Amino acid sequence: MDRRIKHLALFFMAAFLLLIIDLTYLQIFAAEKITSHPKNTRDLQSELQVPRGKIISSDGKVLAKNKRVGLNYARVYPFGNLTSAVIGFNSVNYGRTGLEQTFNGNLLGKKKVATIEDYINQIKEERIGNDLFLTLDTRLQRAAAEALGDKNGAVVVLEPKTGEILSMVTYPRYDPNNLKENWKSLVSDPETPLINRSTQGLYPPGSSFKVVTSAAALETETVTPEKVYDGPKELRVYGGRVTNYADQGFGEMPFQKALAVSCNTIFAQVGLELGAQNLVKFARKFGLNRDIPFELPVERSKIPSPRQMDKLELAWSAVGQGRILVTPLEIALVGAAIANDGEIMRPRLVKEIRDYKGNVLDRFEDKVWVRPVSRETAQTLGFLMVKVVDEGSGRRAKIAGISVAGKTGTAEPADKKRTHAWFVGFAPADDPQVVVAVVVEHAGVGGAIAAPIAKKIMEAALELVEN
Amino acid sequence: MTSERNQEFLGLFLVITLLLFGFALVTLTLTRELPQEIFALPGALAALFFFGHLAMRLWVPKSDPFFLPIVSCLISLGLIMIYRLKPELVLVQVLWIGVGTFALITTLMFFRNYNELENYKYIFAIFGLLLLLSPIFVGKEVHGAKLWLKFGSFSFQPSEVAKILIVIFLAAYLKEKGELLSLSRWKRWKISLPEPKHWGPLLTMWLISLAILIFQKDLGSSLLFFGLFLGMLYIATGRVTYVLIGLGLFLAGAASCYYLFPHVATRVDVWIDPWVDVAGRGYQIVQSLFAISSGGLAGSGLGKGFPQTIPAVHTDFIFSALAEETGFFGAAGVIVLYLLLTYRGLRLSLSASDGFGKLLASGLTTVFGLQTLVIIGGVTKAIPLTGVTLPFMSYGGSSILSNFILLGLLLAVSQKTAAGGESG
Repeated sequence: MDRRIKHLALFFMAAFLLLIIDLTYLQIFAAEKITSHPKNTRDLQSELQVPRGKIISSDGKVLAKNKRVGLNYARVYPFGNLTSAVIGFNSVNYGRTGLEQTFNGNLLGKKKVATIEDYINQIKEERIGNDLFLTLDTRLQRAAAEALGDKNGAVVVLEPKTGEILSMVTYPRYDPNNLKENWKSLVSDPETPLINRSTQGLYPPGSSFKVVTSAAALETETVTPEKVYDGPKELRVYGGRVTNYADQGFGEMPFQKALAVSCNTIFAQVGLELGAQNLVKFARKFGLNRDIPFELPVERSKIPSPRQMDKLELAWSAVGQGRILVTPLEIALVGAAIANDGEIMRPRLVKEIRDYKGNVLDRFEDKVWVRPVSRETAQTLGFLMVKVVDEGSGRRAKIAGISVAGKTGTAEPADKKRTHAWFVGFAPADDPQVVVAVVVEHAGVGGAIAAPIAKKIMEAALELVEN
Repeated sequence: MTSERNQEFLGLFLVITLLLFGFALVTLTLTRELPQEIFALPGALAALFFFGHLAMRLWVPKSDPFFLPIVSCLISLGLIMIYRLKPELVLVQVLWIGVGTFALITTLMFFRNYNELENYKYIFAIFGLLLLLSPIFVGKEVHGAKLWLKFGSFSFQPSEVAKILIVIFLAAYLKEKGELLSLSRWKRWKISLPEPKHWGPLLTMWLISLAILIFQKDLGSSLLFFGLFLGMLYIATGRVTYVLIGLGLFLAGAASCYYLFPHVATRVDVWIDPWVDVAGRGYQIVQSLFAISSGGLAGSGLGKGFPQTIPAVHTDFIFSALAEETGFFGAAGVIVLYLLLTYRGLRLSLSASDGFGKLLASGLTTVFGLQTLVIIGGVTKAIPLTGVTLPFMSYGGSSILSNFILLGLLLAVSQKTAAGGESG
């Protein structure tokens, strides 16, 4: 009998040993594969227990912080809907958007675990998130939001020499502090308050695109500022026609004047001289048909390929109509290229990441993104854009004592509803500190609607720079 | 003062330290405070361990000093996990451990001379069968299995107690008939077997196991009882043929059930691939696998994991929760504790001086070891999942009570063996 008891003992030993081997497989060898299954909610749940880092504006205001809810933390956004387009939200129920999404790992304080020391530290230390320090200024953000008011549209304000985004406003907005109460209406609202129009709204640029056409024409020496064109009421092209706003006729004038008064029939001729290849090439150099590197999701601005453009469409494209679609951020970057001697700096919202003790973990340097035109072209065009504000369609953006460069746009939307009003400009023109791009949906004429908004914002920005 | 009991005391001291430390750690992690009141219940538990220890000094002074510390350690780990998962159930569990300790002391007082049990084997058999099959007629279905008897708000799992009665019966029966059953006088198709009139017990156990499976829908208990029977039959007769035929019969029965009963088929399908229906039928086992795997080597730390996502985590799945929060170190450690207990039990069976003692000790150990294998194997998806409790760790009165009686009987055999055949 004893021999059989030993057999039974061997059976149990083997069985328990198999269990331990199975456990090794589950907990060590296959652990990563099993735990990374999408139905495993542990990561999400454990993230709730980490105090996320704060998000702090360039003027030192806290834009996102935490409050305790039992064992977990919940996010509080002191500036509510004013900064929601940029900050986004972090919610168990509705997910994550904006900088909360892009910098989730940093905000959670995730660290690289490369050495045994890292591993030990990770076990010992309680996880505390890292803080984001932004380029955004809440004072300017407020000024821009007030200037835009309650009209659907967007504003982008940036510093051309560094690429720092100083303000980014969209309307309508949402309050990230009470998503639960409003979620249904936010999602179903046809005005799409959850969309950040400054990076994800695609609009026909209208005449604001003439900056790109002009830059291409100057850079390729297709035109000079003094080259004279005839600007009739309408121009017949390839079986169709190009007309001016309000069917105005301009007569003969130099190119620089044509930009100032935004004469479509002259820009159509410039476009035809330039050719589709060149127009699209330069549009791409300025950022259309490519992805803008940015901390928030950006829709790609579009221009059709030269092969798909007939002469009529080329003529319309040169004046910013046709099938061209741009984001307000893209138009701001076009302005930035002219303001910054032909170089577009990589746009960015985050200056620094610091740990909770204040040690800088990451500092983002200024970087040139693209160089679409030469310094000479940029300076010449900048000079022409001053004329737009001084004596042309952008007069309502004029600031006393400061020279402002700009370009208006009145874009016909595809649905043929009321036009979108555009303005892109920078100031002071001789030493640009700030670029502003404004779009107001279905609001009318750029010079009348968008230019005064941009003026208020530039004034506010310059006042902040001076102090 | 025996050296066995002093060793045992030292072991208990270590276990009590672990228990208090565990409660402090869980409280601190979950509430960031450490009020003294939280030590009341673990303190009461420590006192119960100490009562058990005193009872053993009194009645079974020479018994194996490993049993009580290992069992106390498992109980403590179980209670720490219950405190972490369902703090409101700690009081009830401690009360049941109190009842269990009382049952242990009673067993030591009255059944030290366990050989007397032999005389009542048929009474045990009848009671065991009645208990085992009672849920079929008056039972309540919980989680798709009929294993519970309900008396008002009080529910009871009779199979837990029945297993001990059946072990006692089988030990007594096989001691008497083992000899007969090992003889082969009947030959057909080159297989020699004992005469058909002795096949009764094998067929009876097979039918009972099938009845449990079919009527109570309880794959775990069914497997447990049949496995227990085969193990004891093997030890008593030494016939591998029995084991093979028995396994064949069980597999045939189980296979027919797979095709006949959808609940059995579901269990097996989910075992083969739980990932096809993670949100539905595979939910429980997948949540268990997530918990175990996320534990990794060192675990998330007590109170820092998320095992509450597993349904029935404090009863059948307590091992998964432990594996998540204490990692491979903790989970493998617990398996080693069960292995040690099984090993001590079988060693005891080896050294027991009489046939009944040998069979009783090996039977009790087998039922304990098998139950552990079935549930840990189930929650780790090594075998199909079945609803049995993890001895000494799971929340639940019937399980605690019966396992304390089991421990008492083992200690009684141990005392007699150590005392050289004289019962203490």
